[in-house]
Amino acid sequence: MQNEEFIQDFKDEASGHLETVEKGLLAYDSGDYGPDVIHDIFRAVHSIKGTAGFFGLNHIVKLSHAMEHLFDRVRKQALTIHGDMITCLLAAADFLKEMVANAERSDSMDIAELLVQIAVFESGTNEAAKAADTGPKISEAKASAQAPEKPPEIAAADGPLPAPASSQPADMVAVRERDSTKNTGTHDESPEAEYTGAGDPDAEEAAGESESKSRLVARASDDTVRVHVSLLNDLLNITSEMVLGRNQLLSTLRGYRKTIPGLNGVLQNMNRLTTELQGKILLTRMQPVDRIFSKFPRVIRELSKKLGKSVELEIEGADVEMDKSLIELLGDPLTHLVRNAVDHGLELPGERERLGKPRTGKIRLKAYHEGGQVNIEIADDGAGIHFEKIEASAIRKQLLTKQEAARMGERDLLALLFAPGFSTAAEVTDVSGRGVGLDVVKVNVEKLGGAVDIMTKPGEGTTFRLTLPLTVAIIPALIVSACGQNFALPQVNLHKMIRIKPGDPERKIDRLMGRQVLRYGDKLLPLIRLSEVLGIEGREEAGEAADRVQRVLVLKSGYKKYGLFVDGILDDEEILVKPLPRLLGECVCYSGVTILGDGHTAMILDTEGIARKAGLRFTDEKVPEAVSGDDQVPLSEAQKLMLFGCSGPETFCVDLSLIARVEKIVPSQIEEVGDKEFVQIRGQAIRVIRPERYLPVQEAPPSGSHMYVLVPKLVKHPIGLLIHYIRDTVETDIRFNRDDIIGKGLVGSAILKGRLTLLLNLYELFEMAAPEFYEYTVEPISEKRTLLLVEDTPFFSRLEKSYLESAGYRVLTAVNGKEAWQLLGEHEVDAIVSDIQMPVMDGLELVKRVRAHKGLAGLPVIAVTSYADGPAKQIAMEAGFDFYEHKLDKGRLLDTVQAALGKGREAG
Amino acid sequence: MSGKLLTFRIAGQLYGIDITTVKEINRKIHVTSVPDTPAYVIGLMNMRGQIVTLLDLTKLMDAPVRGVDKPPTGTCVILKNKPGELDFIGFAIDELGSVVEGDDAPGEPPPAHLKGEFLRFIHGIRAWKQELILVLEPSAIYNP
Repeated sequence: MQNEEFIQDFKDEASGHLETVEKGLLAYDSGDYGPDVIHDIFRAVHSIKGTAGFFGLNHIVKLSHAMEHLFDRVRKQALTIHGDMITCLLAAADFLKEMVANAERSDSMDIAELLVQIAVFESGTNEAAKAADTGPKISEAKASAQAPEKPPEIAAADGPLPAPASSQPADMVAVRERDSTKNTGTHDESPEAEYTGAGDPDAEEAAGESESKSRLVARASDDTVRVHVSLLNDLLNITSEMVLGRNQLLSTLRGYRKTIPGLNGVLQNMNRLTTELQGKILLTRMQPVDRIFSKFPRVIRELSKKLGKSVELEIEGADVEMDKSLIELLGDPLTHLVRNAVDHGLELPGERERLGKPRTGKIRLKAYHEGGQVNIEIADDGAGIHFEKIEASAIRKQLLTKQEAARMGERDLLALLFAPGFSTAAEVTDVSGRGVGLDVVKVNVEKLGGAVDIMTKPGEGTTFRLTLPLTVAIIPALIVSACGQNFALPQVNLHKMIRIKPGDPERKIDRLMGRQVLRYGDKLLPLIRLSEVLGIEGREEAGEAADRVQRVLVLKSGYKKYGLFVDGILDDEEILVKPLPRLLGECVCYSGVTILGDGHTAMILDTEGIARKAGLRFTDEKVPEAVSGDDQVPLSEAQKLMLFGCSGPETFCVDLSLIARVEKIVPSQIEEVGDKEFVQIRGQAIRVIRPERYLPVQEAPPSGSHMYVLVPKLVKHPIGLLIHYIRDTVETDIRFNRDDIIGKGLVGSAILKGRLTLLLNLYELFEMAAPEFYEYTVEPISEKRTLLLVEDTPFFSRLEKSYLESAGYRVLTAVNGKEAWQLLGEHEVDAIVSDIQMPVMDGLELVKRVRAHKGLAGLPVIAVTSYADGPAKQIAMEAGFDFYEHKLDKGRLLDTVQAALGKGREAG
Repeated sequence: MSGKLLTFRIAGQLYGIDITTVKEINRKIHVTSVPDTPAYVIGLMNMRGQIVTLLDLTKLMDAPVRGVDKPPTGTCVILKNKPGELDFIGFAIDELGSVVEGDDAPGEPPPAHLKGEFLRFIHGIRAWKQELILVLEPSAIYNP
């Protein structure tokens, strides 16, 4: 029916107008308003009335009419807006909103009470309003106490009104009042007649109606077009299908690139256009975060009244845009965090004053772009979070033991706030708390592919930061297989991948009451098998294949972690998430469905659901992992890493400090000599290698019009790495485990930017590619020498250790000077290889202590650093180091160690 | 009902469905089976970027007809969508029949000695040439 369409237009338009009204009223409330605000409000209400009249929505007309009338008096300065009036008008605007949303049955909704309230305020004189407004905003009791002085006047002005109605500061009172008004019966019957009698701006009535109609027309001719979201969804579908078509076309025609002239250009152009089209279509779904931010002034206003706190809200970056679906889903988590900040974060005004802070607390909502993601911060300048309180509360709730607590750092304690069933507030208030905790916020944000961080300073405030992707529609996923079927696992749920080789004592799968568990850090990780959970029969009983390498994905959902056996890990793909089809029944294991690059569908796994289906209960798993061993090194130096890809789907990275330069080349520049490939760069032929040929990863036929050559620093015989594309650079303190994907040429793997990334061991790679240049032969050592390696960065520590061990040394490791000093007391060491910049105790301090110690003074100490030369070297040598070497130059480092040991022997 | 029926055969039985409810007939399709779903779900397929849930009609209806089990032919009938629905529904057939002209009458009601839950999937029964066509009720397929 066409009428329905018009009504939908009216609904859209009216909610826009109501937003104007709400914003305007809140501007009045904060005292920060311009002269035009009242006109905007008036016009907005007037338009609603006009269009509603057109549809014969009588109650909407009546209520908006009453509001309009009041605003008109304010406009003509016959009335001043004040606190109680705003509360009442906001309530009226809310009710209008509800009526508009349910326009079809709006006439059955009861508006009598609101009409009475509005009438009361309207009939008040300017003086009354002023008198009410003089009191401080928070102490409403005063304002209402003064009002009763006026009843005779009001009664005179508006006849049938019961006097007590004038003192209605809050909704609670209003509810009680409703019955008495009803009993009088007057307002239910003919409120309209009453108001028209009171000097209505009826002249504008007609004008208003035509205005709202012409506005509908005006909107259509504007620069914007209204498009239904379902059309955008269709477009998105078709585009992603087109991307698939493009890929098929490219692979079909690959062989003909040389035989058909001009084909290459056409394909490339098509390639580029399709990618661009997809990007643009995603853009059409973007909306400003203002859509959620704009409701917070209201939320804060109500909260501050309820809690007796004075709060100021500051909003920044309301124009930052995100995908529509994301914005819709963000509302609840954000509201929770804002309520939390007002309730738990900010102190009471008196308390603030005592602390020398302004009485009014500040909440700051800020959205900004960072590295292809959107960050949203909710900051308060309140009391901050007290670590002792978290600790005490966690122990009381038996979430952790005293011993565990003692080992935990501040970050880990903060992380406890997200554990299920945790709340630091002394008592549960109805504002925040009550069932929904921060754990729900965290799980919800993670479902959207985001993360939550907390930063806090006792006495200064707390900031929650949500990091979110720009769109939810496309997420990075890992394609895994079980019994020959493929599934997509969102990378955000992936904590780690572990390969378990048969007979590896470090990684042994234990059986416990018929269940498999893995010793993981100091915890037991429950292991489940994807094929079993899904009930698909394997072609072979993979579980008992003890002689095979097994793959376990460590998954996380909130604070739950478990291991999932899969048969294969296939690919790394950006997938378009589609909702679950209707007829699939109740399958908790899936969160959606997608179409993979090969055109086949694949189910998207839901880690939470799989855990539920498998019957995993995490009653004692609430506590996040304690800091342990070399898993997590606090305060380590941040590294700059470059992420890139080769022909296969894997993402690799190298430390940027290892790279001298990056050259862009076209594939035709690669010349082959024998089985080796060379590229001329600035007149010099450099041998290039393709990492994928030496590593346990996939190799795909070449694609793309150019490639890059990474030329490393500090190698005697330069070899370039031939890569296909550069993904990103990140600065991070990388955290990886000693036992994930390890192969020759790899340092390890880590999750960077939501992707599983393999860290290359460049020198090992070069050794594999050109053993004649790089094999480092060590002179036979009669006795095994022990070196103490002091290095805070896990990446370098692992790399240097591998260099030293490859030369036959026994290596002890420490993460800072303090730990090294302890080890020196416990072990016999032949030489120390130490980084200079480290937390807790740096290398300079360490070497000073060594030199000052009677028994150790002669010990050779080698400084290793990532800065080749400069004044740092001078300082290091003065502090007592014997040698100064670049930590990544394997050959020279080993030469130096040997020289140092020789020296040590002479000295000893 | 336009009166035209699209006929097809599943497990030996001849069925018909109002041709206006059919979106398309698809052949040589790749179906991904989905574990942990009801038995009547054969799997999902990709129809130009749209997801189609493919059903086994005999299992869905729990029909007592048991014909010769033929190997799947890969042909399926995909039904039209109601507005607002994002994914499609289809069912596998063994053999495509012809389009049968008919009158607007629903045909005969199912005979009295046919019993069972599956009757709600049957719109009516129509005699055609030497055979009987079970005319399907599309709304029942949408809401099994």
